Amino acid sequence: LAATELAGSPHASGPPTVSPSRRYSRRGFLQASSLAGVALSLGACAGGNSSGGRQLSFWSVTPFVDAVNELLPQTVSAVAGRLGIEVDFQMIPNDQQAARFQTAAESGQLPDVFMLEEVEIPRFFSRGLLSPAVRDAYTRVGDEHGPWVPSAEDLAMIGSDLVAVPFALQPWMAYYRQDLFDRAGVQVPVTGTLDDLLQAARAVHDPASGVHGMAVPMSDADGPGHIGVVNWLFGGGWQNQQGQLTIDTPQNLAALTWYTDLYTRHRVVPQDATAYAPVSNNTAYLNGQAAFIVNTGSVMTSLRDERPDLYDATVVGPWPKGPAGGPAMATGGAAIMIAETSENTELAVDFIAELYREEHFRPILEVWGAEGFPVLEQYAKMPIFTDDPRLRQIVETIVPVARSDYWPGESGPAYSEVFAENAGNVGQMLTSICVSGVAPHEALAGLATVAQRAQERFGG
Amino acid sequence: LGWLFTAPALVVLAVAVGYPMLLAIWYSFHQKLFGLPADFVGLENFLANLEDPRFRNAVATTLIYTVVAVTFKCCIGFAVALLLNREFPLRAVLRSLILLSWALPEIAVVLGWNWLLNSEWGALNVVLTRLGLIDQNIYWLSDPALVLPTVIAVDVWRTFPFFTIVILAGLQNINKELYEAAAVDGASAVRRFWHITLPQVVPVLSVALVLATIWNLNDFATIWFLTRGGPGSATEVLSIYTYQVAFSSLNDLGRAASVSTLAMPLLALLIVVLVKVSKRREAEV
Repeated sequence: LAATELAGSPHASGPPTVSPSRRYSRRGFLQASSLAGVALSLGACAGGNSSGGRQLSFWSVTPFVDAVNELLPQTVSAVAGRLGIEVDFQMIPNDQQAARFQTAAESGQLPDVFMLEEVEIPRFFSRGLLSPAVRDAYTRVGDEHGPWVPSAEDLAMIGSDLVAVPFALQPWMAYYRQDLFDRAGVQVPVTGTLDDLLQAARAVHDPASGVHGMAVPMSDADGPGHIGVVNWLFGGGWQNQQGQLTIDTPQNLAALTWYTDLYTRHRVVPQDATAYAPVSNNTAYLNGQAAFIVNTGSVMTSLRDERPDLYDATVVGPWPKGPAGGPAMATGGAAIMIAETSENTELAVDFIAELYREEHFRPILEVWGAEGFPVLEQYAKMPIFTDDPRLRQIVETIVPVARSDYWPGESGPAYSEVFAENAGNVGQMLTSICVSGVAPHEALAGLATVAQRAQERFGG
Repeated sequence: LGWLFTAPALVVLAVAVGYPMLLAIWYSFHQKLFGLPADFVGLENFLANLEDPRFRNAVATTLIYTVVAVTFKCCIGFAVALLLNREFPLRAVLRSLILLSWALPEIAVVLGWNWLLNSEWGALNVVLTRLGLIDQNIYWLSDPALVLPTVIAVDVWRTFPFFTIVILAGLQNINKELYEAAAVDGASAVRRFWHITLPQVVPVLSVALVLATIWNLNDFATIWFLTRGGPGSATEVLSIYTYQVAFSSLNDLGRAASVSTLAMPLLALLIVVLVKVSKRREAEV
């Protein structure tokens, strides 16, 4: 349009009489282009939204439950609409989490608000990437919707610093295919010892018919729910009460040997467990190819939504007793943070507080089911958590013996550096034993070296 | 005036290629953990790489992956190009179909293969079992002895059409009279291939070989979406190792940058070869 006007409208004086080269002269073209460029730039700077230019960015790691993936963007939209703002919401796939968040942090482009698993939080805290403004959000949510569930408060704290707003508790649980174990004459959940669990797995292990006794990862996937808990059952643990990493200990070695023997010696684990991603054991169980797995409640929710036949045939429990006691299980969680670089901290606080309002938060919990347990007491009384027999079983049998991933210490940067979801260190240790034939004590010593470096760099 | 016209391209190159490359070289002399300032460590990163068995394994795996994959792609691509250069019904359709695997988006193709090769529920094992060829599942992507050949096979399947296209273009430029003259002289098919076809195709083949070598040396997506470099480090090539060092085990951008910096001379050499081959071809044309 601008080009036509600058060159003179051909229709103003009858049929066009000017040559094409004159109508689109170089000067005219350049002037029109310049004007269009300026207009576009001004338009872009003006924003043009109906929210008066108030914008916020929010990233979340993609949850493992499809229904939540579908609902979360709608919820964020509803929250944004209520606040009269625009929210740029992105769900980051689990396997891209480290690369996306780290490069964003490196370039000063972290979103205003972001949600991560608790084990990641100390890494951001230790680098000064979290805003103290999150305390206002924590207080407001507590005042408006509280009180908080006591164990949820652990998600918010690093030492005496309040760094995040808890979003959901995510306990791990052992899943048993009761129908398969019944047929083999084994009572589940196993209430005896780890050896009883191994015998139970042997009783149902039948790879020829496509069923494996235990689909536990021999890779980096889901470390806290597996080798992390087995350590406790043998009297060990990745750190002590003081937050010092304690890797190369006789107890941890015994635990590691028992765990990797499942693959190398007893062969009750699928061969591809060395290549498991976080969703692989979920998939194996959902496909009816595993009699026993350990995972968060995402599998329970997926069974409920996709495989009601297996949902009815499944019972859950904690890891059974080990030589040093038990039963035990780990629990993690997700929490929301505000970036130190955010220029919209007040808006971020408003956004977080609004997100916990019943009309937004309750539907998320309903579809999340067993994967996301409430962090606020008022939501813990929702019928889904009190009436559903499966969820009640989790609350009654697993929650009482569940310990934070960091037990017996607290969350800290050194632990986080070594054991974060994508850190790869546990996976390297396990695959070096199961794939390369390295002796467990050598593999454990390798992990201890990594831990020592992290401890020196980041402290407790 | 020439400089004026090339200036925008030079600016883009400087910003999009030059700056990141210089930054990577600068980082390679530092320990650079994400979110923290860079600490100068001199040559420590390079020495640590050379002493790291995982790095040495990644170099060996990269070389095996590249040499074997490029060799197979070249041979299969050549054979298919010779076939497609002959007259037969539905030749045009077959030419289009052959291109399909190369034309499809890499991620889609690799994820498809990931599903086909799954040891527990993958279609390939199901088909082989039903045909009575195997009696227990084959662990294509988790058996350390099988995984690298499997990954190479997927890469060859996906990219051999590139060789087919390039070689086919070369074959179509060969003067038919050369073959007629050879036939009159009684040259066998093998001798015609050896003395006419191959020499005529070598210039384009050289370009294709150098390009494919560079692509395979830098390949990331095919391996990442099939195995993530596993099991263990059985398929960990340099690009995967670099990514793991940057974003997983060490979280050290400096150490990761030093891996890339170490690979630069080899890639630069290949680029020089490519430029020289291209220039020679231009001179011949």
